[in-house]
Amino acid sequence: MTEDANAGRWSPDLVTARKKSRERWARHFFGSPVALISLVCVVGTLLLAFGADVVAPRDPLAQNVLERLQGPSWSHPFGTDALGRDVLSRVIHGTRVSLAAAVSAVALAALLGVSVGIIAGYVGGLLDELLMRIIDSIVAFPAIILALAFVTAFGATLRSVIFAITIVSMPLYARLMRAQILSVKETDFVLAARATGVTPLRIMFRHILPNVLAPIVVAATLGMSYAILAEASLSFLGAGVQPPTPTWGGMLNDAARYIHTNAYMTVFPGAAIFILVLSLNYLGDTLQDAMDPRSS
Amino acid sequence: MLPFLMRRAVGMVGVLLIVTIMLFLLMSFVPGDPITARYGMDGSSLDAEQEAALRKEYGLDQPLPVQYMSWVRALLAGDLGDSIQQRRAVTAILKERVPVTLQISGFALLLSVVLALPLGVVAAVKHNSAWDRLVSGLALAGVAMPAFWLGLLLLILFSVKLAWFPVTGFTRLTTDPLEALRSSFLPALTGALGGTTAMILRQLRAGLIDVMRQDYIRTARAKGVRPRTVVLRHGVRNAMLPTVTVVGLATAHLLGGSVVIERVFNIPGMGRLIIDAMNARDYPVVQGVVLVITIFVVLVNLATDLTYAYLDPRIRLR
Repeated sequence: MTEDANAGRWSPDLVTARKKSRERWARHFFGSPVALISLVCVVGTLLLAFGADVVAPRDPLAQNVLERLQGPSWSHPFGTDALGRDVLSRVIHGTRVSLAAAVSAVALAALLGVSVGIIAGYVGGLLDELLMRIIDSIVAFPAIILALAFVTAFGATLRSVIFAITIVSMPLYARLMRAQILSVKETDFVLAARATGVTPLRIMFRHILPNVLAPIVVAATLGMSYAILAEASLSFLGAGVQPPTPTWGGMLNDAARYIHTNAYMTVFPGAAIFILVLSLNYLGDTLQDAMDPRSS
Repeated sequence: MLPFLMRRAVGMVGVLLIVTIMLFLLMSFVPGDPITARYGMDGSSLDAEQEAALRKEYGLDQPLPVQYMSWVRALLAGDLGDSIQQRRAVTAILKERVPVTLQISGFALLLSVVLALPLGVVAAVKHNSAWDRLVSGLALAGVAMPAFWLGLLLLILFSVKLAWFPVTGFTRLTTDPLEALRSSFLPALTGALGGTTAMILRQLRAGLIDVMRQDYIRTARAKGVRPRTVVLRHGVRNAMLPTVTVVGLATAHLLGGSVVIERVFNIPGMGRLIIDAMNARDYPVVQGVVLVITIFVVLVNLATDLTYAYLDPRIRLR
């Protein structure tokens, strides 16, 4: 990109502009304790997912009937479930399904949505009309029920869960991208590129895409929290990744049977979902403010 | 107004067609069919002839497009087919289940609006104050709260520990209005606090903050209009437009969320019905529920547009 070419020239304007933008980022992320805590929570969850085998005190699948349905104690800080499995270890291992589903689904949905949005926005005409009507139909239907139908049709596996969440999240990126393209398409720099004979493909990827990516990044961060909630809901309904693999939603589904006798069982997996989703939402909001030069 | 309505009606039919075709296709990928789901995969209780006869009876031996067309033809005559699992008309089952979900979702929507309006206005008028930060923080938490977790927590606190509300059981508004309110309060509160209140509140707050910066608000103040009137008449009225859209979205959100909420509170509504029907491969019921939900969502969108047109004369004239 042109930015790299200019970087070597040390134009004084550019240096100050960059310094300012870096300051703005630092102010947004490190000036607010809540943003910092959110960042720590998200990074922490990522580390837990990667290091679950090392961090978790026990085997999340090991059953011990003698220790079933125990409250929190020193040996089981989060207590044990109906099969005597250690809830803390299961919550830690639960990060894997949550993050695997959310990260893959958001990446796929963004990729698919951005492609559809670019094509619809740039090509326009009948193709645009057709693509947008399909998108409208997906949106017209409650996401959770559509996702449920997908998982029923293709089996309750991680792959179908990812596929289901991808389909229901894709419209957001497609609409966002299309709107961005439409607003940038007629700007002078795109017209200039077209006038000098640059190919449409190159215009799309080198001239338009870098200019409209910021809102997509924000949407993807917020989309992660949505995907985590969706995965947990499917697991709660028994339509997610199947037992014995620990999932937060699945653990809550088990816990629902014991609310009369072992209410604490609902606390930890639910809190894990809540904290991660809240952190991602807050980060998304912060990112949005940081990327918007008008906010101060 | 009439052409606008006509155009919308055509669009509605289009969306209904696409959604039902998508679902028909999806259901064709489901391993096994209703017959194997009911009589067991091994087919031990049926011989091949009986199985073939049953498939023929329910039209399952026909190619997919033919099945779809006969479903649409029957639909136009007001017939949604028979449930394969319950062996009675899908319309009869829906007649029992739809009012249950509407009662909970309607109550939840009412609670969301009643909570969101004053909180949103206060947060916007006292922008950047401690009140605003508290309300915005709570709203952020509401969006992040998984509804099923919130439902379980409310159930544990208010039904199990305090015994203020029944743990299970559902009463219809038509049987006993007071008991109906009591039995639907927690599910409705779960729906409201687990997302929709926050959705409406955030939009109203953002919209109102924006409106209150406009020149006409300054003019109104300069004229000496009472602060209360400035906020309610000049501010809120203009901030309501985008908020109406979000209320429409919230309604769709609640209808979808009923799947989870009805599971937590063990309520016999459409949400439970569709999950049971999916597990039993009971296609006619799944199709029926999907159709009803899509019709509601589309109608809500239409209502949103009409309210928009009513509130904003510029849209009405177009």
